[in-house]
Amino acid sequence: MRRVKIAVFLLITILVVCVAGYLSVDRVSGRIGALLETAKQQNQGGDTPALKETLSQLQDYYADREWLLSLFVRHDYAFSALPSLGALESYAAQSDQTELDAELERASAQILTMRHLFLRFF
Amino acid sequence: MPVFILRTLIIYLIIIFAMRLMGKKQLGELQPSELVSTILLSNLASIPIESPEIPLISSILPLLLIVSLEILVSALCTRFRGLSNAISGRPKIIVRDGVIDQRILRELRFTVDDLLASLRAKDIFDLRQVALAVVETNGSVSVYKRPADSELTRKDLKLPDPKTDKPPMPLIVNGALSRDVLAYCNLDAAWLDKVLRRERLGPQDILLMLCDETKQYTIIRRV
Repeated sequence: MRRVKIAVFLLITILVVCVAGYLSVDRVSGRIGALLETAKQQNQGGDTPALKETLSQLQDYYADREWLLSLFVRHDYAFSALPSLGALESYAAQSDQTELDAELERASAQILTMRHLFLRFF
Repeated sequence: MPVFILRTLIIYLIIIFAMRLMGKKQLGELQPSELVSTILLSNLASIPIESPEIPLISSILPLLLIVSLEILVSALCTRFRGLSNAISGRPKIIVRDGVIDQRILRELRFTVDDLLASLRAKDIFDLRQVALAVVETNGSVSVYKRPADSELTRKDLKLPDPKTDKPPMPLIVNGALSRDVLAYCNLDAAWLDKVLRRERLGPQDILLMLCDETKQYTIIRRV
């Protein structure tokens, strides 16, 4: 009977960790996606100071939540977006709108892929 | 490199925990569901060790899930016979009165050689000695011999009962006294002290001391 109780406890723990992981990755990837989207709009609108602020926010947020992603997501997926996110600020500094747009697009695609791979059921 | 070592250590400890949790059944002859969970556990355990890019948690969670399901399914099987039959199958009688049931033999995909090998493992070389042979759900064969071929017992020979039904138990192993064994044999510490004084030994001098409830004992000294 003691083993059954432990098994039930483990099942509940697994469920809680799964839900927590699902929600965390969903929230973090959603927030990064939203920041990238905002950066894209600011870049297209030519609002460089706001763009720099958004990119800085994005960089900080990503650095802050990286451990959470690496806890649940395959490390190669979780870290694949890191180099491109790091490079975004340098593009903004050079005011290279087209290059930055392409980089933002690529980072968005990487975050979306990671999100899809983690959250997909089958 | 330290990451590999740490991950391996964590997985090793979790597997030990898992096997302890699943109990002794998992270490003997396995039922189908137990075999499945054991195979899955061994595969899951190797993934995080050989692939550092995979988060540890994504291997530990399925591993613990399989352990939990195995425990819950076996608990349900003890309560619901139908579920037990569905998961583990039923024992099948394969030999009756020395005659092989060939239909069952085909159904189980047992060859005659398999059957004879199982009987030989039980010291039976003549099929006619078998009154009943059953293939258990874990694949082992249980045999009931014809009374004429069964071993003689004390009862058959009308011998008096032995002084004790209990076998000798290890009272001291490597100098460590087992109080459970002392209680099991209905003995007390005073008796043990007396014996050790008579033998001029301390517990630390003893490799193994066996005794039974008739106070018969055997001591093997540590060299």
